[in-house]
Amino acid sequence: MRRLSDRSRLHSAGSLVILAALTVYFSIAQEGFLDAGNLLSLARQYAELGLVAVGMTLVIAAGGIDISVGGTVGLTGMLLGVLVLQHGWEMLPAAAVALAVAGCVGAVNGAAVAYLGMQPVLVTLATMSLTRGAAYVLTGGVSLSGFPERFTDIATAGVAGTGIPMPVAITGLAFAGSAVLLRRTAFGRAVLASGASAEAAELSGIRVRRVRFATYLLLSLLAGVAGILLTARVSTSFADAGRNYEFEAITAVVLGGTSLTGGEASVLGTLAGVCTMAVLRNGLSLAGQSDLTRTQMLAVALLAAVLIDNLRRRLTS
Amino acid sequence: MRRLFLLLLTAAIVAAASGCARKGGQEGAAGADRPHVVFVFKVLGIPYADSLKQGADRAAKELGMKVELLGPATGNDIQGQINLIEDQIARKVDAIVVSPNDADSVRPVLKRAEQAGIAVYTWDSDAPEDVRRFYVAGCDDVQIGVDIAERLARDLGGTGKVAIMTGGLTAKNLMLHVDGVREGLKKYPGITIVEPLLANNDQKDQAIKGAISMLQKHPDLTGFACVSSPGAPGVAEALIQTGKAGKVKVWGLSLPSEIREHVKNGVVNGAILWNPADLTFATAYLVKQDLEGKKPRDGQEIPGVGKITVKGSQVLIPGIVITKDNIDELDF
Repeated sequence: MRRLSDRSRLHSAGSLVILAALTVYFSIAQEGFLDAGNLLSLARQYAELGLVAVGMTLVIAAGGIDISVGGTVGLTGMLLGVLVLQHGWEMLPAAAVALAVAGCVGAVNGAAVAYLGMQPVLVTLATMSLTRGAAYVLTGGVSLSGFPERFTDIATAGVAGTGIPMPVAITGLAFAGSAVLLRRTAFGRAVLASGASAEAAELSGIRVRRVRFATYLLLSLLAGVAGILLTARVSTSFADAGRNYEFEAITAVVLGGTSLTGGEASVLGTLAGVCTMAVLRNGLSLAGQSDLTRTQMLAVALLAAVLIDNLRRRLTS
Repeated sequence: MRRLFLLLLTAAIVAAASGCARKGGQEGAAGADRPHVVFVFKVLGIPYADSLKQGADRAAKELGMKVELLGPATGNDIQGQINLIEDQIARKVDAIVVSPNDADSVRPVLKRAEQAGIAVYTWDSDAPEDVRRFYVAGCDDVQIGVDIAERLARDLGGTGKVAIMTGGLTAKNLMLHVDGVREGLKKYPGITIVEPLLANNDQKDQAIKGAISMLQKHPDLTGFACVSSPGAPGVAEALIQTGKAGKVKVWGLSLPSEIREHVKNGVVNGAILWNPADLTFATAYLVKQDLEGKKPRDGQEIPGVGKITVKGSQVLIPGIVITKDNIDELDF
């Protein structure tokens, strides 16, 4: 165990190096990059992805994967819109119901994977289509807007006069909480042990199924929160919200040094991974580069990270 | 070993980023005092967006501005478009021109842009009126129908029997085009309109079938007014198949590339459309003028585009009339 976690720490140090290099580079090359307003808007843009990525880290650490997260984000936001704007609900109960539905998606994913032994990719591929489809069906694809300002303001308002936007604070807490959870608690050790070897974990008394179920549930709840925050930020419910989040979250996790085969994870690395994607997108955009360039560079970075992960495992085994 | 790979990965990403950023950086250095205008379109990588970009490039060259056209990599990416607009606020550009994927979702970010001292406009597709200064549109949905009718009536010498062909019966813009055709033909008492309205559901094979049966039912038909793009090429095929090419006049609303041969051979008389490149160029022209404190004026001439119409805060550029005289110069 100790050796494993040391190794992933080293690896996450690697993703920090990449992030630092990119940050230094864009600070010099791109006027306006280090601007406080720019960094703040960047943090707000990526807070939602951060929430999903931190949950994804736990799922992957326990040996699973979840590609339904984007659909869950879309469904949560759309439900919120339908309840509040079409049925006149108050914000809070509507958000609670939307979150509960997100939790149900996680429960379905977790039960199918952990208790029925189904393939995580296939299960979550199915729930991805189901959730995204449901988001479209709710309004026939029409987007909804007209939320009260006290709701849309949470995207920009600072927490307790600190100037840190609420979504950024929530995501920061999620990262800190998960880091502690993974490194300092019995649950965290159980997650890593389940991912490293389910059999060995079972033998040492860990309830692997329950642990895996919990990671899926947690991820979907985080995706639900992300869906609500995203809806506030763009002040619109739209069925396509959170598109590509599965790709971006998994890329961030892998860039951060978490092994796709489970058992090794770095929450700090994932944070660095999300920041790397944010910095890359923003830096290229400030340079007037098209979004096409960025998508290709991200894809190459993902392939490279997976390649490194593979080689690393071959070299150490 | 691991570190070596990481180092290589870092180097590769930074090198790629530096290549990309430098391109933009140099432009920026050269244009310190030129107005910097960024167009944010719905999506990149489709032919229509390429045409829009030609207009942006032309504006950069001819108007002494720094003009960029950006957009998300995939279609209908509402978040991606908002992120791009937020970046432009951070860049402190002089003006942002948006064609929103979703009109209401861009309202907060466009409001923030104006608060940050950036002039906000829309083109091609509109946002809520209160968050932009003016909107430049490709055509007035009714007027384009009137123009088609006018041209057809002129080619018919003011008399004849005309059929109207639309695309789908429920599309809002097409209904307005048809209204325009009917209105335009009212001026010509010698022209009668043959009912019912033909609908091709935006498919060329249905346009061919519909035109053939119409020609059988009304052998004395002398003209077709088509308001969706598969109409004119479909009718042309029908006329060739029935041996009536050149005898029946056809005007439509099609891309030059769809009707090039038919126009050159005289089967289709012409079409009316707006040029996406002109749309962007005219917008850039009016934005520059607005930044200098001059509002768009009704009837104002835009070089190479023509006279604009101003209705409230909406600006319309003239359509282009496509005939065999100019079709080879139009590469879209």
